Amino acid sequence: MSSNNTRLWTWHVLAGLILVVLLGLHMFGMHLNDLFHLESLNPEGGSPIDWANVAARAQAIGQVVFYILFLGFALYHGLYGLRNILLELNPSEGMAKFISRGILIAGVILFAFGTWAAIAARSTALAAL
Amino acid sequence: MPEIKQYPNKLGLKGWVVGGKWGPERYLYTLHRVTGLGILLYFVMHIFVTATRSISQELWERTMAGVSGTFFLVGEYLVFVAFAFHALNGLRLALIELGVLTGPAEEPIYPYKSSLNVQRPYMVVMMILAAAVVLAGGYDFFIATGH
Amino acid sequence: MSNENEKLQNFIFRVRRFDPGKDSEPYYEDFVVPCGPGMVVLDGLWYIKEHLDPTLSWRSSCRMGVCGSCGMLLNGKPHLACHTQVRDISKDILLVAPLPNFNIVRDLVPDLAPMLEKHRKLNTRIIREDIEEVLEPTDQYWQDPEDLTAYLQFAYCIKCGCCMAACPTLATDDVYSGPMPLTQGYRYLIDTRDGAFRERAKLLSSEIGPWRCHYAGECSAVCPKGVDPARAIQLMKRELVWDLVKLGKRRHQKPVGLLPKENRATERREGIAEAPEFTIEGATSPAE
Repeated sequence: MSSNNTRLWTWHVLAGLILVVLLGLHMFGMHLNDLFHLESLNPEGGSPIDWANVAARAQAIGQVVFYILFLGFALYHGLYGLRNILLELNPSEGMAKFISRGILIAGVILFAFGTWAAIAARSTALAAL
Repeated sequence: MPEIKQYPNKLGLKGWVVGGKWGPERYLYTLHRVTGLGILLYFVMHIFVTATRSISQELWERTMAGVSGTFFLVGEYLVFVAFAFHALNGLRLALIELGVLTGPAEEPIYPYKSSLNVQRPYMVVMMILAAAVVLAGGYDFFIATGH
Repeated sequence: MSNENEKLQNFIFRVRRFDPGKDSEPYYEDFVVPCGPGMVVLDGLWYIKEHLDPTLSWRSSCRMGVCGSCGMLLNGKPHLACHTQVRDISKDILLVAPLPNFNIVRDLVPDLAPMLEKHRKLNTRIIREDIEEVLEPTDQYWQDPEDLTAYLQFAYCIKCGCCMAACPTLATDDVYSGPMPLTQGYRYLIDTRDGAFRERAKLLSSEIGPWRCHYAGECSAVCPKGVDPARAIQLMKRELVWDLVKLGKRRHQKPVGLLPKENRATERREGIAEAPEFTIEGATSPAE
């Protein structure tokens, strides 16, 4: 149990600050679209979850990069926070190790799956054109 | 010397909820945890739900139809509210925890003022901003027609 | 005197009792205590001990907010009993309980030993490499007023444990050091006479460091000495993070004295008294 908490925590805060920007953009595009219309996120007009808009976003390479970065920072920030809460519940040393490893593995799997989804969505959207 | 029996008096998980609570920061601490866990739960589900777009347009549209309706709309709005709070309160916390909004050490002179007093105006500003975002989201979720 | 008596008002002291010899659970017992204006909770406890129940136990010493012995939970909030006037916090009933997050030894006596053990683990003392200078000082340790201000506030701590009782993380967590030890850790981390920043930074990057503080702020809200542990912990995080990303001004241990080395005394100056003999058997130097 000698993880460098200074480093882990610094990344947690950094990821949080980056997320304010990335998640902020995402929320503007998805849920404040009627107030502030962002043309590049919803080029086809209408609802942000209409297939036309989804496909337009999915095939833009910038959006794919955005999604993968967003996914990584959000998973790190969220899962580090979850780990913190669980470790503060005073688990035994073995349990604490199990929690840390379990969360790390879950994070890697979710990141791999999400990255695959972002890349595969591009092919699907391009094929549907 | 014989072992003296002691009574364990840790507040336990109850202490996270009912312990303390003498300043608004204590409530924000609780709310920050709750909203964080809520957003994380939504986020993990969100990864799987939105991954359907990678399979086909048909599956995507079927999934979106499945998560529409008042229940999901209100649920999603709650996540939006949680985001607005967690992001703006998190911004305050980041500035505090990096020692920006705590103010430097100073000699304690009665009646004592602490870092809580230094950061409180920023806390008020952040909460007003969060409320504004929540209202804007409410307009977009429930009133504007485009949704 | 009769005037004084007219000002007395009966308060109910609802005191949490626990006798390890016969009780399995703590329970509350009521005592009626006549309280005059200006009377502090500690006076009330003495009244109970002298007139109502001599078995009531608590810890107190200086009765003027200096020794840090009488931290208690008064109407649900940690305070010093000697420092809190009954009429300020109660109208009729006053709940008196031992500080939570510590084991109860008996009645209002908490076991502060785990807190002091955490305090010790953080090397809360000046550590220097030039051990000869520590043992045989040739000059004063000079500090600017700013150097002093950086840690002075945190040096007012009396280790009463009120902050530890208020910290939500400590309600569950045994590993986290908590506000008092971390504040003292920061007090030495930032001291320009100290020369062990590297070792301290390494120690504080472990689980006992400041990373499980999330600024609920309750430690600073209850501190009876205005020490502001929450501030110390955030400033500690800043020092450690700035050091990690190499943005920090590298703290240098300041040299001893401002005089050039050749002008400094090499022997003890006349008229300066010798240090007293060690009182602990086997001790050889203050640095140990």
